[in-house]
Amino acid sequence: MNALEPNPVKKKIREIKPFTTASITPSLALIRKTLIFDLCTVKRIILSVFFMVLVPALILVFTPSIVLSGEEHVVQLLGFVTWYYNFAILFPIIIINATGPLISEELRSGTLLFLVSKPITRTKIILSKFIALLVFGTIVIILSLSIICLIAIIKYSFVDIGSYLGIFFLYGLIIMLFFGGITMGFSSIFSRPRNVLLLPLALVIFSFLVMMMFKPLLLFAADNWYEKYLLYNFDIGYHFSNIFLWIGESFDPEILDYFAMIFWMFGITKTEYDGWEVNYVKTNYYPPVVSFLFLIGIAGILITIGVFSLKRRDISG
Amino acid sequence: MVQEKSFIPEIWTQELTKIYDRGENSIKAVDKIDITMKPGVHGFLGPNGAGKTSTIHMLIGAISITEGKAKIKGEYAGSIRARRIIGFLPQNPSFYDTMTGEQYLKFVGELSGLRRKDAKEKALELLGKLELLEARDRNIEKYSEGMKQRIGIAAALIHDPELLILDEPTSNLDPIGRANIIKDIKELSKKMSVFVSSHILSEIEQMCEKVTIIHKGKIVLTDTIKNIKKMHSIKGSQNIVILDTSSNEKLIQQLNEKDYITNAWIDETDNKIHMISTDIEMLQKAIPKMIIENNVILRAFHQPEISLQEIFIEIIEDEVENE
Repeated sequence: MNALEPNPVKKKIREIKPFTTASITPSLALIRKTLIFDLCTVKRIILSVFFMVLVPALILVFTPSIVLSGEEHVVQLLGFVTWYYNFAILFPIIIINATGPLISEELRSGTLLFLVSKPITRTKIILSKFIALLVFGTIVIILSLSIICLIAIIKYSFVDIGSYLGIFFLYGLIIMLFFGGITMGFSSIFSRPRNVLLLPLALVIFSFLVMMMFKPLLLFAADNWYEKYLLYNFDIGYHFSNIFLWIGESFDPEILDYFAMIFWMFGITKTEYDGWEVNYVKTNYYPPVVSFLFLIGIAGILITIGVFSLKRRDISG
Repeated sequence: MVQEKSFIPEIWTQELTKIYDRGENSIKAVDKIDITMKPGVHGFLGPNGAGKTSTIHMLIGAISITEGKAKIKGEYAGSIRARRIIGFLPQNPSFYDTMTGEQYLKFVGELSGLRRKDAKEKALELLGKLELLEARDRNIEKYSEGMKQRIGIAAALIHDPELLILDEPTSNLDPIGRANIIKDIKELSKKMSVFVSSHILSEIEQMCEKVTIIHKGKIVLTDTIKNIKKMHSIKGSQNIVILDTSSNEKLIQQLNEKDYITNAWIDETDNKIHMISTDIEMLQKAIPKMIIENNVILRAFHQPEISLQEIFIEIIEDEVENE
């Protein structure tokens, strides 16, 4: 064969059209694009991590060393703020804000028209974007918890850094699956990005702020209305706290004692007076695994509705 | 209509219908249209709101088909297989503005199933061909309209499609941009079939061999441009003849005296003699004699060619009158 002639085998290979078999390349391309260009922008990452780290870091920095003289537990010191401020309020807002525009913005701007003309199914479009969101959320959780732990290690030799990391990493993943899932569902159902954000944000505000304010009234009512009218069934905060306690106890069995009051406010415990003192006992309305399946089920149902909604939708740019 | 077994059309539709269901106000955008597109360049004409974009969106699978069938090279429109075959440029293409031209094309290449390395090679090749190589590292939001249209065409071409579907490719472009896009489409049509919609008929005339005219969702005509012109010149302008000499004024009176000329006048638009004749053959024999006898120079002697635009307007006006 003449050295200048192209290799016929290579030439033949080059002539082969893409897609002789089902390809995952389109999905991978969409995951990568969503992650790099839509989610993991420098500004978004810096802002998300900054606000996630801010309050725990302030607590660490301003806690006098004199009170940290024994065998200290970072779960006890930072547990409540990380659980409530970081993972009940802030992280859901970060996830909702990141997920909301993923489909609805493409619909609004017209880029979805071009996307659906390419050989990728609408189901794969939603799932690819959801996977990208999970990667983004995981990056934010890991970065934030790592920085908090680094500051904690610098400040004091806590004995349970591993437990803190383990509890909040796993709990963060569940928060992300739930709020990412429902927002992704809404993003595929509604066209306006504003509507997409409004519903999940309302859920966060209602479950973790409004309910927290009014729940003591229900709990203190003469015959515990919260229990009597089975309100815990509809209380997302209860189910999340149930899961949090489940994860927390597997890393640190004393977690219920650290935050007994908070668990009571979420309906996980109730008070019993034995003549000497008030004791907190578990309500056990649901096993934690049921709460987990309940929340993941809601997210799964909304994503499925989103997939069907997008499949049926006429996309005309 | 039955699809022939031996011949697989580029585009084939049977009673393709789209109804937008908006509560009480259902809109029939496309009404039982049949298209059989052979390889080549096929124009899809119609006034604004005629149903061109709805038809194209059904072909690419962006909107559902209410009734009827549509196939792209034998594959059902909207299926993954059909979408592998086509390259599509929307009417007003939208882009991810934070991406550079090269990043966008690489992404679209991978989205179309190319491997990363191949997508990069192909992106650079297309950027070069469409004269965007210098702007490849610039964000698309900073591109001019013409550049955006070219990057849109590159995105449609990145996986070497067998059929290119272009929805109003020259809209929003200046005359130079339009001329460039027409040149590109002509070049592309040597390698692949092109289905192009437009309401700018002079452009379609330059690009297409065959056209389908759609009005209010229905096909009113589909044929080659040659046949359409032939048919309409017989229909409308068979008796008109144009003559241009070095002294038109000298001939006008003589022409008006002929029995077979109903009327002859010097038209203000071109300063040529326009005649309506009852016997064209007689006129063709008489003109050379008159030229010699009057000792004038013959510059032009022909029947006017009717433009696609004139035919289109005539067809649409007929349709409106018949409603």
